[in-house]
Amino acid sequence: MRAQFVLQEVWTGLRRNLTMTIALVVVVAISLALLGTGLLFVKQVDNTRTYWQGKVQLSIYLCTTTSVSPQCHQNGPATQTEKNQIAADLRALPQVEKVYYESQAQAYQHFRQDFSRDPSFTNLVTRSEIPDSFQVKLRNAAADFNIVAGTVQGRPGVDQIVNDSSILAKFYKLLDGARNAVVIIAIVLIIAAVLLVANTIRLSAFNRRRETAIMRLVGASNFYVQLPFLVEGIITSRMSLRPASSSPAPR
Amino acid sequence: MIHFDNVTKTYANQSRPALENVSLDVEKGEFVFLVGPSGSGKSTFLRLILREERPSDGRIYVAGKDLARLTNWKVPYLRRRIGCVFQDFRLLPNKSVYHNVAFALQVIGKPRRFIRKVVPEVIDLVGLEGKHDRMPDELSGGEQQRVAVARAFVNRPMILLADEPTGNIDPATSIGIMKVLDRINRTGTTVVMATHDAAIVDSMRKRVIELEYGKVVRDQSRGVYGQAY
Repeated sequence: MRAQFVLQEVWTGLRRNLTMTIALVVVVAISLALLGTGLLFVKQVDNTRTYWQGKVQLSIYLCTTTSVSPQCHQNGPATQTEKNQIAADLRALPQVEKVYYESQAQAYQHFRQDFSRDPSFTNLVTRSEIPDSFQVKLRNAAADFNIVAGTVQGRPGVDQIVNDSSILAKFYKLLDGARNAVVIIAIVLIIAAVLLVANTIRLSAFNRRRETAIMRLVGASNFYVQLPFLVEGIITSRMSLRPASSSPAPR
Repeated sequence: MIHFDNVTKTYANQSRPALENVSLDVEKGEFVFLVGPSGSGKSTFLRLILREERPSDGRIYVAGKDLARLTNWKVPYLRRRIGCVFQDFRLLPNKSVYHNVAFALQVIGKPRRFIRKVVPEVIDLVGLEGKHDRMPDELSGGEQQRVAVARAFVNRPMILLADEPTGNIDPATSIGIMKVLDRINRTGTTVVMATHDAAIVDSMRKRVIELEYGKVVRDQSRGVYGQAY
């Protein structure tokens, strides 16, 4: 086995097929990178979903001295009895898994944390402007929201009820759309890459048909005849693997 | 060296066999002309020896090997003992004379030192001294055929098959090619040459096997091309 000779033949083959080789490397690299991105995306979307699923699903904001909605104006800030009543009623519902109270102090703390990068904004808002709330965790967010919300809706002391999952739904939709787009593009590109690989091999075989015919005639073993194709394929795929595996991906 | 035992070859989709009940022997060191009109089975005969085709019936022995019992992966080793020359030269246009000849040894994995020693000798033998670095398109037809002969002979095969080697060459140049083939024959190599060239056959006075419609119609030592054509 004479490595130098084989490598030389491979080099001539690759050079003769240069445009095709470059096209192959680029397409295979892009499609592999996209497929990898798509798979990571799928994983990430699932992670995000389970993360948020475990979070609070219903927020009931209570009236404070600074609330502006008409019902708060009418009834004034929520009194301690009103709050106790709401908490008790919520806990009595079978659809509710857990209820906890977030005081104005805690809410303000969270607010400051969430906007810690923007002190000019947090400095404008005072503690009394952040409402306290009941954070309700439902057993089944999609089905039970209306029932649970209905029991406290319009009560004195209740300002607004926010369904967290309705906010997340849009976000999920966006993520799912992006994921599907990436996967579809990757599949299309992989089909293109497979066709291109087939074509490149055919072209390479056609380019080498004289050499191959003479090799067979003078008694080169099948392995020797196929070796240049094999090495060419390995080199090309190695070249595409590098950019594919190092391309930026989420996470 | 070559033994055909009642060989029949029928190609798929053809009713008439290309070769029919051919039995003959070619001894070591013989020079044999294979004559006959186009389609008489000359090329099939050569392809059977190379085991590019398998016979439909009968047995073929080449260099002591029963071709029917030769496994596919051993075929290359059979072909290393058989040199081949064609009407259309079949040189690699992007390689020089030297590299065309060396190619035959490189692809069967011969060591570089051996190639460097043997290739110039063979190029000299076919009469192309000093033309090592020429490319095929810088050579005349006769010179290109000499390169092809050198390539066929460089591995010192036991058998040299030539399929109309002078078919593309003018008569004067053909004589030069025949001299080279004769020289190779004198080294003990069996030469089987299919040809349409009556003048060459008549002048060489070697064994002549004539095929017609796939059958051997004449087999004479020191023969001539024949009157019919």
